[in-house]
Amino acid sequence: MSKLTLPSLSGLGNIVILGVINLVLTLAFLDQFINHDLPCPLCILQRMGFILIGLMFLLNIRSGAQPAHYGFAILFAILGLSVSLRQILLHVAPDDLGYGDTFFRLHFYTWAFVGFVSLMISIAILLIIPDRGTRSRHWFAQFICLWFILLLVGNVISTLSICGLGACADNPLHYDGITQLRQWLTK
Amino acid sequence: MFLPFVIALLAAIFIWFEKRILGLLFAFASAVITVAWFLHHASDKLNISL
Repeated sequence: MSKLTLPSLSGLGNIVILGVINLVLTLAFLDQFINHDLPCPLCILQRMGFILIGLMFLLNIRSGAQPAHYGFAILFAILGLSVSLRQILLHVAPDDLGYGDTFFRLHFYTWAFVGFVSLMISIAILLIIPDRGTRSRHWFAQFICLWFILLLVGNVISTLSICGLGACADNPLHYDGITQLRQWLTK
Repeated sequence: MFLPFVIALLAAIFIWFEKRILGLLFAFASAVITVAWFLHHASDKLNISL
């Protein structure tokens, strides 16, 4: 595959979906840093769900699509969907105001649920259209892949600084990991 | 909680260098740890009547 020619429709679909996952993860970071809305453990697990699906699309772009990649992506979408549904049910009672900020009047975990369902539909469409090669070295595909890896590095640092080396607080208000590191350094 | 992210990052690096099987294995390991954390954090009773 040339570095200048765009891939097939299925290849383009894979790049676009990985790009959308990148946008979702970037939006989560923007809310975390601009609105100081720290992610709860279930929110972090939903990010993980998007990352796991993203890994399968990264595989399709780097090595070519295989049914196993789509199969795993569907399983990971079900995992993310379960986490977001659990969080929706936690706050489903009428007087419950929900957790964290809203985006277009819906909480982020509700959007995550919509996102996971949409990803499953997208995977079904990608399985329906003929696969004429998804492997791509186009500069745009490389950019989307590197953006995803950069977001993964950011999530490692962010989760370490919020939770430290152990479990996260149920309702995190501070970067406990940084506090733990400071205490460890001043000992 | 950071462990699934680190393993996913390693999977991404393997995938970037086209080590498909290693990438898949690490992604699967990351998913298993994510499930374990989900079970750990989803232990409270839901305030709903089913």
